[in-house]
Formats: sequence, structure tokens, C-alpha cells
Amino acid sequence: MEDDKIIELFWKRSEAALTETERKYSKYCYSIAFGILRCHEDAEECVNDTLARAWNAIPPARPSMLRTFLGKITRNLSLNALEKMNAEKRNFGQVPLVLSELNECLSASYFEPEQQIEEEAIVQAVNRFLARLDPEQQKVFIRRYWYVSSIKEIAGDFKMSESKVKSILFRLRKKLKRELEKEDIWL
Amino acid sequence: MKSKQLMKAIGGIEDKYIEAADPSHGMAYSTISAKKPLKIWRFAPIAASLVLIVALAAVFGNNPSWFNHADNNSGVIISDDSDNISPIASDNTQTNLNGTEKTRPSVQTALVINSLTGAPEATNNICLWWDDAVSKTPGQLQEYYGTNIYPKVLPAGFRKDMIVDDSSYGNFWIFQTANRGIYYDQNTILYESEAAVAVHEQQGYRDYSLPSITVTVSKEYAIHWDVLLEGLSEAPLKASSINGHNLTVCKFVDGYGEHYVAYFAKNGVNFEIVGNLISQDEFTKTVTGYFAD
Repeated sequence: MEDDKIIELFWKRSEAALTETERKYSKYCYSIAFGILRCHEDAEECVNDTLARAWNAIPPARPSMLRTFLGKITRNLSLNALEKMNAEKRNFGQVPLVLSELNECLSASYFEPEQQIEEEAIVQAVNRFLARLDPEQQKVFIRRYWYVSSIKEIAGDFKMSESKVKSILFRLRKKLKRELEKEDIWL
Repeated sequence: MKSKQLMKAIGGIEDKYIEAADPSHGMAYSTISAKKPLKIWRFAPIAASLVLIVALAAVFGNNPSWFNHADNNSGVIISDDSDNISPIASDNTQTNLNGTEKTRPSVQTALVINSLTGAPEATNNICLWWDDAVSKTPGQLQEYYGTNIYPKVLPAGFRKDMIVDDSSYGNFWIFQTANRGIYYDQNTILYESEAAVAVHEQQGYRDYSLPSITVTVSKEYAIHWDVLLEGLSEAPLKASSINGHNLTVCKFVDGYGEHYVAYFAKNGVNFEIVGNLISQDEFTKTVTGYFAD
């Protein structure tokens, strides 16, 4: 079923919207959740929660791209679930590694520690950073830091060696750091 | 906590990036074979095909060298109406393009430029094992293909020396095993404008907003251009012919600007030539230069 028809079903409060969404996008959402959580049961739970969140969000939302709309919900839920797992000492998967890598993009702040950077400003800065990359670099970056794919998975999909992926990511992190600094975003 | 803030912010990036990198889509293109400025943006379908009439006399006869001659006149006339092609004047010759009154019959050729609604994307599902990779120098590569793979004509302001694609670890490769033989031999040669080379050298990777030409060649591993172009043209694709060689030439526009691409086979080698942000005239000269021998 076309996305706009599914969205219409959501707006009509028809439960067929959930059935169709699950049929079309549960695998996609599962892959995102599993990439972050590395646990089948937790990933499945996140997919179910994603459907519930979508049900609550549409309406009023009318996403222009249902697939990524759902993907973003799944990613957020998965990261939240991961925090909970960490608290329960069930820490595994790629996220700790990814967070550690992202630390390299951060500069020592010269602002007061309590100063908050608006999240939207960071999002826009990252969008501008991505816009300046070539398509391959964009994909490698997003696979690692949005989809939280492992280096091995990225290397396999892009037909690169793992060291090549690491090298690309290293350069991109340095570049992102410079871009954030240029925009006066000091995290 | 700060890296979590950044991680969270990355979650809010634009949909197009998330969609483009979606692992379930498979790889959009091979990093080893062709690092092309492929589409990020889709554009509205472009109307009818452009017909590019090329007086190849300028290539084969009067003016064999185009290197760094920006003002060269190739005798190219463009019509946006393929059913009504106007006569062109090529050097000192008036020619009827219907083919009935050619004054230079051996060199007069029409190149049809097909308009595409987006960039061709190559999906490479072949599994490449680096244990099977055999390194080739540019000279060895030429020898392997057995025909000239390097352009004789480049646009003005282009660096004549090729750049090996970043993703190729600074060299060319073929992939072979003892029992399978050669199973992948696609390589891409990159040429850039001097400005692009300077940026490339400074930042360590390619700037897609600057002019470049890529030449992708293969012998055993065919470039299935008909598959690549499927669904990208509103009208049936029209082929062109130069000296008995069939080729398909297309044009598309993306967020960086105009791109031209030509597919053909010559002496058993499959070619894909992509001209990025260069003029139609410059691209035509580069492509037709391959048929000058």
C-alpha cells in the first residue's frame, strides 16, 4: 500500500494503518532497533512501541516520508531503551563505541558548562556538514552514526576493508569537529 | 553526556540522508568500481531528448587535438526537436543532417542525447575478496584491456594526469581466483579540472561541485547500462553511432548541475564515461576522441 494511503488510514483512525505499517516497515524498524540494541526481544519491543508512537503521532503529524518518520521514532526508542539497559548493566552493542567515537567531534567548551546548545542548531549544523560530503561519505557516516552499524557491516556493504571504513570515519569526525567549531557549536 | 547530545542530534538529520543510507536498500554503487556523483536529488522529468549533431570532421580531420583549447569549435549544433533537425555548417561545409547531402560522409555523425530524470545508479552485489585482488599500474591496466582506455581529449583547464579513485587505495585492481579466473575487472579513472585537483589534494577527497570526468572500464564484468538506465527516461532510449560503434549518451541534472554519460563497447571493453559539470560540447569531444583511432 502506498504511504499516503497508510497515512490516510492513520488519520481515519483505522487500525488497518497499523497492520499495513507493520507489514511494510517492521523489518526496516527492526533492523534499526537491532543495530542499536543487538537483542532480538528488545528490538521487537521497540518495533511495537514504534507503531504505538506512530498511532499517537498521526494525526496531527502528516509525515512526508513515512519510512524515515518511523525510523526516527525507532532510533529514539532504541537509544532510550539502551540507556535503560545500561542502567541495568546490560550493556552491549555498538552504541558505547559510537558514543566514544563521537567524543572526538567535541571541543573543549569555552562557555559555561551549564550553557545549553539548542538541539535544532546542532541538527542543522550536521545537515550542512552532510551536504558538503560526497554521497559515499554521507552514507558511511550515516550508517555508523544514525543506523549504528558496525564497522564490519559497513565494510561488507560498501565492499571496503574495515581499515578503510575506519579511516573514512576518522576523517569525517575531524571534519565534523571543524564544522561544529566554525559554527560556534561547542558541545 | 555531550556525545549523547550529538548522537541525539544526528537522529534529527534530513530524511533524504537516512533514506539514501538505508542498509536494506543494498549498496547504491560500488566503491571500487565507480565513485560517481550520483543523485542525491531527483528532478522533474526533462522533456524531449536533445539531439546533438556532431561534425566529427573536427575530431578526425582538421583539428585532431583539443587539449586545452577552450575556444575550439567542434561544429556542434544542438536541437531540442529530434523530428526537425536543422542543417549545420561544419567548418567550410554545409551539411544536411538527414544524411542525403553529406559532404563529409565518413565523419558526419549524430549523437542523440537522451534526457534522464535522475542519475544512473549501479548496484554491485558481487562479493569482492581482497585476497583475490591483483594490483595494476596504469600501464598494466592499459595492457590488460588491450585497447586505449585513456581519453585523448579533455576539456580546457583539466589536469591531464589521471587521479586514481580514492576508494581504490591508490591503484587499479582486478579480482581473480585460480578456479574462477577474473571475476571483476571494473576500474574507474578520474580526471579533474585544475581547481578540483587542488581541492582534492588539499582535503584528501573529491569535491563533487567541481568539474570532472570519470572513465569506467571493464572487460569481463559488463556494465549493464540498459539496466542502469531503466526507468530513468520517459522516452525510449535512442542510440547513436560513431564509425560503426553504437553508444548511448544521456544527460541528467542533479543538485550539483549537469552531467553527461556515455556507454559503449569498443574492442571488447565496456566503457562508461561521465562528464560532471562540463559543457555538452566538452563532453562530446572527450567521447568522440575515443573513436579517433
